[in-house]
Amino acid sequence: MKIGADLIIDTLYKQGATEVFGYPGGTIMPVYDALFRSYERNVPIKHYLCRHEQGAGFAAVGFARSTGKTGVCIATSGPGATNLITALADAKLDSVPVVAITGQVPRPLMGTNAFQEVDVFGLSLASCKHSFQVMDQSELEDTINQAFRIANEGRPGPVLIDIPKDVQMNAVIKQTPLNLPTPQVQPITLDQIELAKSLILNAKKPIFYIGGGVDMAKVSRQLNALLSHTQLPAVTTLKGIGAIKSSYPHFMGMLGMHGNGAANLAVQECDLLIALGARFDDRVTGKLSTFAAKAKVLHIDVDNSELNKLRQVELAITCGLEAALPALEQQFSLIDSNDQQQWQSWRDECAELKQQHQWQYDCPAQGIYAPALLNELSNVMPSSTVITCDVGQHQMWVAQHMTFDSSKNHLSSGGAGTMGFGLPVAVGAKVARPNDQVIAVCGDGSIMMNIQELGTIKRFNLGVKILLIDNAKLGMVKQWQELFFDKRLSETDLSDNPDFVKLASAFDIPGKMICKKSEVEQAIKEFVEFDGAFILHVKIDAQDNVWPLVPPGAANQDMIGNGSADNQPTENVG
Amino acid sequence: MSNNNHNETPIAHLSLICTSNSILLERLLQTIRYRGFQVLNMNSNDLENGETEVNFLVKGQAKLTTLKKSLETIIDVQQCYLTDEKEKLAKLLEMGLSSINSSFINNAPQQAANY
Ligand SMILES: Cc1ncc(C[n+]2csc(CCOP(=O)(O)OP(=O)(O)O)c2C)c(N)n1
Ligand SMILES: [Mg+2]
Repeated sequence: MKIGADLIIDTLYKQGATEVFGYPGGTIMPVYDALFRSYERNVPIKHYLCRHEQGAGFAAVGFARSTGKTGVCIATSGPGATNLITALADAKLDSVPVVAITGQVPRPLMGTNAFQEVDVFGLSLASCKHSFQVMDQSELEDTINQAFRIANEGRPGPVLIDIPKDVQMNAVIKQTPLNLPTPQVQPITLDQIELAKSLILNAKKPIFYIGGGVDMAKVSRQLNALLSHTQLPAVTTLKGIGAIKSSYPHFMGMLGMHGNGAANLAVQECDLLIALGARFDDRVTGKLSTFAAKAKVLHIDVDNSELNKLRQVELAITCGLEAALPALEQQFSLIDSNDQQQWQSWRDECAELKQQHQWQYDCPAQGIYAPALLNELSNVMPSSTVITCDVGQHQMWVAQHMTFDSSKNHLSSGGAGTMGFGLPVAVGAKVARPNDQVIAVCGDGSIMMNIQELGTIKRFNLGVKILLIDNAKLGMVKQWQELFFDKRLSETDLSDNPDFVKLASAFDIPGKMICKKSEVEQAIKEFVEFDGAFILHVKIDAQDNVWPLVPPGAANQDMIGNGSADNQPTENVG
Repeated sequence: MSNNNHNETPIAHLSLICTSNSILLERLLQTIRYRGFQVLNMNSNDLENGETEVNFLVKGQAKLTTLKKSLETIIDVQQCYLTDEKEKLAKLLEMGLSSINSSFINNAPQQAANY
């Protein structure tokens, strides 16, 4: 007899979800039993047992973000489901297609405070793009199909399906479609494209502001072609990193709170901001009223609610970039050389800014300077390497000092800024891309939030590498305390950290600790060349801070610190 | 600190045509609250073709267009009409939200504060 749980597995299999992440428990046991039987039933789904549901949720995020496919995670009701929520909220803010399946207590027990009953459906309303609770046995199959559609359609996001245990256990009955409305996709019109073109051609100082939407729409190639036709300066957000080829000569780097000085100043100077798949996040704009204040704005995004939300724009186009970017690219493919030439003085101005704000790595101290180490890693690692990050100073150093040729290779928690993101996301990325190097750049604070995933790495023999940047501090918070709280270092000391190499070795993961500048080159070489999981524990000076910094509430041109190692305002700033 | 100057808090009427389902109202209310608005009154009627019409009277300082657009991104929402002009509001409310009389709208800001 085929039961609901078998139908769940069959439908996942048909959706191509043959690798899933999760953690079993009471109300999801029928699904785990069906997973066990999936091989004999010829619908093989490989399940990766993570060591915490948050780890499973983030592994699904890593799987999705490193490939563009849908990530799937599974948990039991109550605490299992609540443990997933952080990863789902992270996926919502960063628009990641994830389908989460949670068990629920049987229908007759719902609403009785039953054992492990939590209204996860209620919780998911605020943390998911959409959610379903399957109360009608006949809607099981289409609910799963619709969840995959919704997770990917338009602006992607996480979808939760809460399934009561009896729905999983009952015999399958005839399935009926849900008849959900399908949103109409707005095509881009010729008028809109021509308006956009004329805005660009009439601008003296146009600049591209590229967000995560470009890679999500799978149009990085068209973006790079458009840049090559126009030769216009361009900046990216944290999530846009990688969408522009690092070799593009007019790429100015990341903008925003810890952006490159040149990128911030160029945006402040431009007279047309071409925002593609970006959303004017407060970490990008600084004081909103001063952001690109001289500029008109052309904003194209698939999510209509992002348009004119924070910045009133001259031309707003609601359209998927998969349609808009090829159309725009085509318009400029035969650009007149006079048109292209008109921007030469603007290009020169940006090139000069770039020259003035180049990163410098000649730190005089004997200790290891993390930006220099990350830059070294970036230079020697294969270009297909996936870097995942935790959250904090090290995350910003990765964004600043490493280069990427695909956004799928730089997985950083942007909207949510979730500590503990790096390790489980690396697990998911390595499962999805076993032939590529996957390196988790972790903070000593963040790694402890999902350290249990070392167990997952060991069990599945995943060659995930860990570069641990250890400043014995919750460094980013400490930096703000130094700057904005009169140096009262409240609860940011981690000087009693464990011996991370020993900790990893308990999971059979070899490692090495370094603390001297002279050790960096060799250690990075060995780290990259090592075949298998490895932890490189790097002790750095706790005094190092991230520069430049736009203080909260300040305008982007008022950033402090110019990004060079020997000119950091480590004292008396703010 | 909360803004006590209710006289300046705009009021608007939203009328939505949605696919009927048991979670619909919760989803709409969550979005309205998240986008910075308070619901002053609401009603809903089931239409014939599996659709539900939902009316809200909301007040808030945040951007109404962003609220309208984010409601439109909800899968169940098929159409969303927004009215924030006083005269039209009064008319609409007479027709639909009968529990709020038109004097409410004429004195909208003050009434809203006391609602
Ligand atoms: C789950 C979570 N809790 C708290 C924070 C606030 N927070 C942001 S950065 C940071 C410090 C991170 O420390 P570490 O991982 O050591 O990175 P570092 O800044 O030292 O490089 C904290 C506590 C957060 N972003 N996420
Ligand atoms: Mg730290």
